[in-house]
Amino acid sequence: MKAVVWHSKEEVSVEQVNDPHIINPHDAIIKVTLTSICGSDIHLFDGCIPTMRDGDILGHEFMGEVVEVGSAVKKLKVGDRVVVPFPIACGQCYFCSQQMYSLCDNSNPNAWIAEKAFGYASAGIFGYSHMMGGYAGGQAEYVRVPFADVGPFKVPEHLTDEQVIFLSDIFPTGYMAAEFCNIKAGDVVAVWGAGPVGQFACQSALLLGAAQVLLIDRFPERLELAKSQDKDGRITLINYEKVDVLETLKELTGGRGPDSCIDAVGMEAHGVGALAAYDQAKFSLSLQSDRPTALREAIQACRKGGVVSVVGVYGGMIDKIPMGAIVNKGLQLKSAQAHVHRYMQPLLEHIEKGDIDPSYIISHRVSLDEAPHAYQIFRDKEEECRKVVMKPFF
Amino acid sequence: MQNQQSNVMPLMAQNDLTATSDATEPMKEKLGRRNVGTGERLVSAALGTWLLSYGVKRPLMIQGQLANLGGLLCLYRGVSGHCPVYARLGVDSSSLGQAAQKTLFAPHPYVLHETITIQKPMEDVFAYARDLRNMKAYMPAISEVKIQGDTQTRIGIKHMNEQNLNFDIETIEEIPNNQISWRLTPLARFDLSASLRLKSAPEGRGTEVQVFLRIKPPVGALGTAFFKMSSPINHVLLSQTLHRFKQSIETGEVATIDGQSSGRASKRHLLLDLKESMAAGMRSRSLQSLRAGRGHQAQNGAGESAAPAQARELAFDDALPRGMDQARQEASPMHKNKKAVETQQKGTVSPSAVRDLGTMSPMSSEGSPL
Repeated sequence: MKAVVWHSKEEVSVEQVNDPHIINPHDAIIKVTLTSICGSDIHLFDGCIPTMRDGDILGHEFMGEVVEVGSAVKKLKVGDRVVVPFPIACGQCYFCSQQMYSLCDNSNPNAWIAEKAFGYASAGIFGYSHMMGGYAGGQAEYVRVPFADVGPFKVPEHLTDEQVIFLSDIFPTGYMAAEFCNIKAGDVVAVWGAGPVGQFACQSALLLGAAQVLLIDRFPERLELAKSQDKDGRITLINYEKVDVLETLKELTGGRGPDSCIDAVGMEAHGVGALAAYDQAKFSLSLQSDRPTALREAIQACRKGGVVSVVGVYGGMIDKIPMGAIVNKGLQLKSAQAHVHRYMQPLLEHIEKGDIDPSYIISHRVSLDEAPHAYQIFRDKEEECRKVVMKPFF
Repeated sequence: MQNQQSNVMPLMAQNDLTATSDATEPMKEKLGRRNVGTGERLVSAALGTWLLSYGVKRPLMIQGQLANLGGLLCLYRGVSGHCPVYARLGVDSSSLGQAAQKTLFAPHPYVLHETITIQKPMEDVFAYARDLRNMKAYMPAISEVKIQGDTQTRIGIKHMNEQNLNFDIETIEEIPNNQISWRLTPLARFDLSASLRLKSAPEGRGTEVQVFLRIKPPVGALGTAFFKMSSPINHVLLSQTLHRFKQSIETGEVATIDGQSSGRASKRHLLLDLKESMAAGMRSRSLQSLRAGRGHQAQNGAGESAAPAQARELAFDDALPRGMDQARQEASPMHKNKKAVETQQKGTVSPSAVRDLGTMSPMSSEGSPL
């Protein structure tokens, strides 16, 4: 079959690889009908995530049709049309029983590596380094999905692939970010990053009743895209290259500061000013694995007693984090890889009701063969690339 | 039976980490100060004096310098009664140490310890653990388990050249739903026993499982030091095994990527690749720029050269998780329909991309045990 294969930094290609097959009794094989490139795939493309191996198949956002199931699979049937959550969860362990699916105890075969890095291991993730299990990803014609009765989520026929594919990652991720904020009437939520996750965090905050959402980015077209979905004028755009973010946020909130701040940027943040230059320099010299520019700003901007919700991906160590601000302002820092399984049903209902059509963020529709080019333009934000979906079969 | 008891007791004594640590602390302190026996101190001091007298006459020669160094160490050992090398090895030849059987050639057993919580009732975990046929699931190196009586089990371990190594396991202690211990018999080159202790975790969080692996290598303290350094039976293996044990009980299968699709062609092993790629992750950014001029050369060479040194680890690592119903794979209907797997046709894209040769694991397998 054809698959998108990672070789090394900035080197991915489309190749013929061996077909997947059922390995464990709870496995299923999915014929991929649509897959997409996630912003976090760009961290892999840029070589920022350790424990990738030459030859790994990428992709953790995908959906398709079940073509084969293992002997212990009970609920899923051949022919089902499903969206697959990016974290792999066993459904049996303590964390799964608490609906913390991305922390599953049993799905990561390389738990010992993650334990060295993080103390305890989180769930396996499709196509996202060997520390996260080393599973072959879904940017391929077929993919093996473990624990098939727990993950794959059946979607109704009347919704198109493009409408539901983002239930696999970015929509739940954005929604969880907003949910972390405990939004109450009158709340102002600031969102760093108007990429796909930032877009959904923004829309989710509106769904959850935020009075105002302040969206921060530097690309006018991304900011405008969010505005285009704003039915009742609750989104305010802030271009951080044009204005001082902290001052503007203060101004827009009557000097209180946003009630909660969402970091939808993560480890490869850009910024302006001395600290951003410092981060870039340390990052370039490999003295720092992640650039926490957005996170730092979010902590600084947040009002007293507010919530800082981090859904941007960080992989390792960061420094110059204003811990004093967190303690003395009484902030709550909340974070997780999205517990996707938890959100698929409620978010599907929002899509069915017409509250949101997630396909609005798609800018490029290409075939799987064009993946290498798509990675490059998505990373460099060329051709106004916001989100790429790829079809393995035409 | 007598023999069994003597093996069980020290194991149990060592098990109770909390109880022993307090009791032995002051003793360790004392032993750290003086750990060389009186006779040995005299010999050591004499040898040190002789070495020094040899060394000071040859101050400009290497052997003279070495003799001086050795002489000083021996003299220090003799005069102070403390040997840093002994301290490192846990050896004590003083009268106290002799009483505690810590002399150089006395056996120096050590214990590996791990713990994990399993989301199942104690009865289930105990039943699963005591049935050694389940070992095949959580210890994939084991290819065969034969129950040969109430307490005797024979296991076959896959060896590099397809031969089975057979070991006998004896169950030496069993307290239902609480504790179970085994040891390898006959005691081949080293003495290995394992003990599993179960404890109820609080508020429906399942069962806490503690594993103690007591290893007694031959040739006293030196054998122990060598074994600790070079043995594939180490903390990582114990942790991996315990994770698989838990996975198998909680989900009925062991998570694996062995045999999945990938863009790797030839056969390579996990541990080596992982070490490389972990190192690669750390180094890639800085090395990328340094290596920018070298292009794609030597892709195959770089990683392979490291292979012999890793041989032992790799052999053991045949043990990585694998699927439980491989027979069915062959019969997979989807496979027959899909086109045959072709060889790799790489269409590399980014011209600026440079393969990071030294650090990437070249040509890894799939089908390889991951």
